[in-house]
Amino acid sequence: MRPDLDPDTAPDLPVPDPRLGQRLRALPDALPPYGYGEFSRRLARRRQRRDPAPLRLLAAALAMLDGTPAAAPSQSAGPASMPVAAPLAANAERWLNAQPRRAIVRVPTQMAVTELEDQIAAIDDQLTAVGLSQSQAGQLAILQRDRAQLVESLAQVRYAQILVAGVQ
Amino acid sequence: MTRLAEIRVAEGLIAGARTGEPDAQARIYALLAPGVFALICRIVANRAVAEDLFQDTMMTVFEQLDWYRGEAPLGAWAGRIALSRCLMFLRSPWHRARLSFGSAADVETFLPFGQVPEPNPEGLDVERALASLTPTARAVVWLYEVEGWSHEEIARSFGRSVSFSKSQLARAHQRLRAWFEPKASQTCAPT
Repeated sequence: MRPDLDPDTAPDLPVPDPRLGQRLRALPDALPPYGYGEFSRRLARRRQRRDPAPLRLLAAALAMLDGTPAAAPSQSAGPASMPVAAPLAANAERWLNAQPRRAIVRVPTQMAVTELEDQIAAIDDQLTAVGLSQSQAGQLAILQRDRAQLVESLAQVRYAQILVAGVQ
Repeated sequence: MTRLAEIRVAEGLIAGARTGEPDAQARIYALLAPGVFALICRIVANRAVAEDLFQDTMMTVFEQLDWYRGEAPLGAWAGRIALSRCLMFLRSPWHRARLSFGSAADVETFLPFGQVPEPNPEGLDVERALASLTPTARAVVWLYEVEGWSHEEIARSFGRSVSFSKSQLARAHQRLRAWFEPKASQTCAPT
């Protein structure tokens, strides 16, 4: 490239003024919105929300309330703490994507569905961020496992919804 | 202004925080929070958004502390997480929608709610000047001038070329200089 067209060496870029940098560095620190006490409470709430075990229990309870067995097509045999096999979660996701959205729903069941979908979306965001950084393979595996568990739970709730709709 | 890259945390404190010791976590929070919040505030220039991103950043810092390898100071590591959160927000459709409504360029000072700002016309003027830049230019200026990042580091973070960083900085300086220098057209002529 011609030197006069190369943006790295283009002569028309003004020379940075050191006084501007000094003015910026003289700005005060921004005081954080809350202290550690409030932060740790919020962190604990987030961890609680992310733990899929209570949601699995909720899914099972909702299915029982609806009068149907909590047996989604993709249900794994292992306990909640066991890593979920990726193919099972993939099957569950395909099955979920194939289900039509119902116009009439029970509010408690739909709230559980929405909560699970929100959490899956949040994990998708994190997976994107971790995938971009390309240096956190361990974190990637944890997120994928959490996502698979959430997809399974979602499949259970949606399956219960479908069964109840068939009975009514 | 505290530079995040200058915030070094003792290895013992980090080890304590990893095992969940509240004292260690509280001390690390107190060290990092002001610098992290300042970085986010100055890039997004909106208090409500900055608080959301700050919370997300600090939670990520503590949740991923096991993955911190100590290759850079902890402050610099936290700063990179904060920047990635800011860039994700700036690239989001939600932010673009806010820009179209014209609400993203609010000039705000970043004090806790209810706290009255001390008289500091110079500081307020610098905040206003900074807020007049585009979010990208603001981020480049802040990272270069305050955090001490090189053009190469900024370019890598944005996924762009070094010349992108240099030209953003040069244009931002031009605009900031115009803000601070008295304009000939604005001088009062005698009547």
